[in-house]
Amino acid sequence: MFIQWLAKIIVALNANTRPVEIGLGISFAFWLGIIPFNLPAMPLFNLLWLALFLIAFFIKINQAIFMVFLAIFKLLAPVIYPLSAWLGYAVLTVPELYSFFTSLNEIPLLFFTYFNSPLVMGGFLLGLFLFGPLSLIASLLVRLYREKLRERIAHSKLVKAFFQIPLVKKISELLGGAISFYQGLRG
Amino acid sequence: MPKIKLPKLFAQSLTKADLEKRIYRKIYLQEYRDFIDGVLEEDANGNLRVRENLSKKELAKLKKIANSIRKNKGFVNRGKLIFTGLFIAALIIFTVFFKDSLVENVAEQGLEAVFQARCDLNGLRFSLLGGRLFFSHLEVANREKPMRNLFELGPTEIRLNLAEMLKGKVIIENLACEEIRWDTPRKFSGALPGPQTQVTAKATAGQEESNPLAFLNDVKAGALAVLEKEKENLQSLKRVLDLSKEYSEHLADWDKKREKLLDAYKKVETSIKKVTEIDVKKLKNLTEVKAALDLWTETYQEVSAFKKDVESTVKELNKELAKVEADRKEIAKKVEEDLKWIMDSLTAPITSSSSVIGKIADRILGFSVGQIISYAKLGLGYFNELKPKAPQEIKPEPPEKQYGFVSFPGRSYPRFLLQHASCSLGQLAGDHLRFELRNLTGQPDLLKAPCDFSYEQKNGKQLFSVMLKEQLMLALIPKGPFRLR
Repeated sequence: MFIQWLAKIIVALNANTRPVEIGLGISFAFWLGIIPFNLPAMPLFNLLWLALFLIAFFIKINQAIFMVFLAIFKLLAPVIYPLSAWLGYAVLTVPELYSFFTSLNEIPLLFFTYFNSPLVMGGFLLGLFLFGPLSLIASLLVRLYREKLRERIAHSKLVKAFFQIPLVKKISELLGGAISFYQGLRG
Repeated sequence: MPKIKLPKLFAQSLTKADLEKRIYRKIYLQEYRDFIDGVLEEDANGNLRVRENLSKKELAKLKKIANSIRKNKGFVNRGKLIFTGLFIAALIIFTVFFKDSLVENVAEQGLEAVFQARCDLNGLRFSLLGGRLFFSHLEVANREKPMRNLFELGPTEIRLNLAEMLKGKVIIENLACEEIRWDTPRKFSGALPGPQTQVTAKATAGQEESNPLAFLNDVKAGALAVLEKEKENLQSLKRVLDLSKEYSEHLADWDKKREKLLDAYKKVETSIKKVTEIDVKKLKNLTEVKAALDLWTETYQEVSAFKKDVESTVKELNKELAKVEADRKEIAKKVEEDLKWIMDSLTAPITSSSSVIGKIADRILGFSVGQIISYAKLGLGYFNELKPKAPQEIKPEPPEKQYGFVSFPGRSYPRFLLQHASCSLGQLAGDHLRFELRNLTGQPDLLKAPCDFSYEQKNGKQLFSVMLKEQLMLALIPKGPFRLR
């Protein structure tokens, strides 16, 4: 499974896809990764998380990158929690926003976004602030990779030797077209 | 040489500006750009077009590139969006045109399966998102008497607060059932097709003339039967009956003893009389003296024996009196225990197995509503589950919980709230009864509104006792204000 996802990432990086799709996939994964899906003692999952996931579902992003990075950011989320909780708490306790949040609290469905949780609010804001920069940086890195590294890697003796290893050959056969980019390059 | 079929994007000649805009801007791999540069050639007009002598391999790669260019258009996944849109449209069409009739049919079939008789449900409105179920009329035929209804319900509504339900709270905004009637006549047979539901015409004719309040005849007998059965649990009564039997036997024994003592007394009295009649001065010889002495001795022995009998009888009597006192105390204790048991049975929640009122209600409702009562009791039993529970053992908190929530003012509901419930019994022996209940909850301190129960009755006397109502309320509300209007 992991190898399959890894192969899909390699394919995505080497295929003729828009770098911004990869950038958006990583940004959405980060956003959804730092917003808790469900909170303890809460009866329903987070509607905000679901709404963002649906947006990611309908937008053209690289799904493989999105899923892999979502898993990675979910694992790393507890490291970011202190920062997002601090940010969320700071925003939620701004006196000028008190009446706004109170009116939000009155809307039945918005309750299930758990916006009054510092983690959710902080995660949402952090994701929102970093969405653009993260997409941009990821896109630039993909462009850089494709322009500077891709050809070198594909034609390097190390990669050629790697694909001659029997186990790798077998895996590549099993994965079918997942690593066909290599053959594509050769053709 | 056969003409090869190029991808649509490359089929016609392109200006350099077109090439840049339509192709190069959507290619992100240098290798693909180089390939396209290699397969394009300039025509007579100075435009660029794909050369004709492409190999199969080149053509396949060109198709692959054209596909990837096509995919790199737009930012919205149209396929998923169209599919979701169609699904939502289908859902809306189903909701508007078919939902209510489908739910109505399913409900009718379900009820027919339960009651094994025809059910007619009209005017059903079902809203899943609104948490509302309404119907204007329901009648369920009696399986045994197909020309009569088992029960009939008028406008009925169940409306729940779905948002609060998702939070794990049961908030019933309205629970109304108007014009409940039992055993009403039907215009057509309520028998379901099939041999098991067929009844003879004679039986049907007889049923049509029966009294609509016939079920009430069984109510008194049912209540008495329950009370008779409950009487078996009274320990004092059982003990009194046992002792009564025991003391009846003792009384007979004492009668015998009294007779025996009286006989002995008479005998002694006669002997003493004989002794007192002896005149010592008149005794002439030794033989007469000896006879007198024998009589004295005999009488003395009789008196001594009588004394012994009396003493032992007094002892027995004292013992018997002590036993009577002990039995009296035991009975008093058992009476006290029984009284406590009776009070407990009366004040126990109606859903509890020890409640006498619950048992009588079971019996009474069993006559009229049959299987429904078990479901109703089950529903009432869930009420106890909704009462606030004692805090559980603290477990280590996951990281998400360590940061808590910032609270903002908003309406806080209790775990269970019945905001409004009403029920009316239509045309019951000329009476019209209507019950209404507001703000029933297990946490009245959260609601800050009194629980309000009212009933109205027209043309007749009251059918249900106040005690039953109080009992019901007490069973449901552990504390908090309650006003009987």
